[in-house]
Amino acid sequence: MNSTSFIDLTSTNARLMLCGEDKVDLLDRLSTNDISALKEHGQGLSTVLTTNKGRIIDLIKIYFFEDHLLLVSDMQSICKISEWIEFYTIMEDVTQIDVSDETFQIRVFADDINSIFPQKYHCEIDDFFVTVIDGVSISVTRNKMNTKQCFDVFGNKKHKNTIIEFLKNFAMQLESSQFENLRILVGYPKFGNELTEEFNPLEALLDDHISFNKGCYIGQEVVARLNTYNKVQRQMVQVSSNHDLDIGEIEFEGKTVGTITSVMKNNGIAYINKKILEETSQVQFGSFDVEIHLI
Amino acid sequence: MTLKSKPDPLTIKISDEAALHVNEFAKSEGKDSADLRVGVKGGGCSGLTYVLEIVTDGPKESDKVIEDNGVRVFVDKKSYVFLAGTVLDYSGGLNGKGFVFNNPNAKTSCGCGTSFSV
Repeated sequence: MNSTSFIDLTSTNARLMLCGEDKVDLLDRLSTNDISALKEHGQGLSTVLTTNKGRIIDLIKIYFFEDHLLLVSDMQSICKISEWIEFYTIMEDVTQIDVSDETFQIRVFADDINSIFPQKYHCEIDDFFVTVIDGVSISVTRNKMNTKQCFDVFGNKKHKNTIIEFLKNFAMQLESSQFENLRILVGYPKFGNELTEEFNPLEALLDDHISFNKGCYIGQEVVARLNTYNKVQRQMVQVSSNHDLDIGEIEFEGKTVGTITSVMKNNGIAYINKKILEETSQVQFGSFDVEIHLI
Repeated sequence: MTLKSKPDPLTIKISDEAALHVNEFAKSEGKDSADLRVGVKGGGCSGLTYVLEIVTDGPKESDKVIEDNGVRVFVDKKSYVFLAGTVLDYSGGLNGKGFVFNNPNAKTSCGCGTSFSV
């Protein structure tokens, strides 16, 4: 695969604007990371919406613009997220505007963003900068999918083709299957597969997106207890085999020890009982041996 | 047989102890009386957190106003959905001192008791 590539995520991800005086405070009370740390235009972070049982609703990105927050989630989870926020907007001044249909999102995989965009920009992980390409104003966020650095480009949807043509000068456009393959190879979780209410953020290795000292948020008591008393039962891992894999249970010595949640041919992502990881790095899927790789 | 009266599910009641402490606060502030603003906001371990303020600036236009035990209670209409039937009490026990929401709508509460789910 070309080291510089991009994928159009416009219809894969949803984008929700949150306006009103209490938007930061409300999201801080609803999700795992310290949203109150976002204070100025250009800052962003990842956070996890959790149920009161500490289970995952979705991993979302929050970007701080001057007059609103931009929330980016999976398209499949946005209805639940929007209803979740609406339910908990009681006394607060918060309004939601779904801008998914008016905006685009393109993810660029590149070692050096300066090789694509003309100006030199310094941008921390999760933060963003605004620039102009061929007369089109875009916001570029710096992200990472585990070890893989990437940049998300946001803008008005009517200019999407202009930006895609621009990016084609530097990068190869990925098909969705290639992107899925990349996601599985780097072990990055996805809504509906690894990010479901069956799992908690610690099992999904989302520790970097949890503030353990910010105070209460929905599910905090459970997440804090799991972390403090080392009670996390399962761990997300990357798996591979010499044979094609499928979604389903994996076994060790005849007992079910985990579940494969994503697959692409002979590679996959799975949740495995943590105790098994201390005993072996090889389990079985049906009659096939499966190698476990820690993420 | 003594019939114990159940709290009216369509209102918010103030216990004698809670009313006493609201009035004590008013006196300490040099006022004849004070009102309570109660509400609910999203957040807290269990999902919803109680809000309680002693106020002296009267109700907002959209507030529901309830009077019980000599205390006026102001509650915004969306919060009222989660608080209807609540008895506001005051606890001075070893487990903590302060106002306590006895809310029949709360299915679960977090360990510290400040948040609940419905």
